[in-house]
Amino acid sequence: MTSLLQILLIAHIIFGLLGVVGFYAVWMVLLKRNPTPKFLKLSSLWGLIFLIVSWLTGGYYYATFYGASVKPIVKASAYPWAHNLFMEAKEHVFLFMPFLAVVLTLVIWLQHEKLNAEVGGLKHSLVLVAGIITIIGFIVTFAGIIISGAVR
Amino acid sequence: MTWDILIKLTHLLGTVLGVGGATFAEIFYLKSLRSGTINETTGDFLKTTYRILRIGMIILIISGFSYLIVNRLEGHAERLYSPRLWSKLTITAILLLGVVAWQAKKIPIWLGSAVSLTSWWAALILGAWRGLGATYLEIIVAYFLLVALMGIALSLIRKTLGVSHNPKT
Repeated sequence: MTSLLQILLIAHIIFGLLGVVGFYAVWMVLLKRNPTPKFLKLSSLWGLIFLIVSWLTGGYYYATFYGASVKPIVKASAYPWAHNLFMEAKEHVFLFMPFLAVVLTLVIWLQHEKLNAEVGGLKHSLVLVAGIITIIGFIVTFAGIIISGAVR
Repeated sequence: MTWDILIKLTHLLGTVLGVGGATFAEIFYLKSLRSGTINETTGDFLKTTYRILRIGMIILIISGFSYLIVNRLEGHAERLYSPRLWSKLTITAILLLGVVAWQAKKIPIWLGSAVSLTSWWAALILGAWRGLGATYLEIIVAYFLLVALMGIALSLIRKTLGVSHNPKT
């Protein structure tokens, strides 16, 4: 693996984690009685930027290196299901995470004044979206460890 | 300083902040329950402690995953399937989801405290206990038993102190 690909893999993991941290923070604050709009805006923007960087770095690594060099090793290992099940699921779920993140961030930035005024409604929906992004983030992260562990 | 030492140091720092923060958060909370009210000073202490806890958690997660990256890039991928590692990951996920459930008031405060304290201490013990021969299932069963024991212990402490469960702010 070249140094560039190593850096891309590291960036994919670390920025992905930072993105999930941002949306976990959004989820937590949305559950409060009076969420702080400034914190929500900054956390969602933080999460979105890091998820997109993780998406691009991971995507480049996947398209240029994983398929040709890593996938055959995983499929030939004692753990072929690490690719057949986890990578196949991860690559599809991972595709729509940033879109969910864009929706959440845009709604927070454009409709934040409604968050404290409304009971249920918009806030309730945003709690669900933030929770879905975070839980998908956990699953994708765990899937990444499973796939990496099979490269032997 | 090599990457390995830097990662180890930050991982230790995250653990120290997290375990210390969780322990002191519980102590301050019990003290406030005994007095029946959370005054400004205790409130400030609690806020600061929770902030330290969050910082500890972020440092721990980033440094923990840095460990995994180093193992992967240095050809020790088999370490990524260790029962000790997966137990720590599971416990961390339970802790993070437990905090959300507590924030959403879906679980009682005593259970939230028991999950938080047990998870942080379990992560510390699992991190330090190299050579632990237990399987993933054994570790997780032990963890749930310890959460139950911690819940009982905290209830007994509260009863002994004769405190109410909802201090006034």
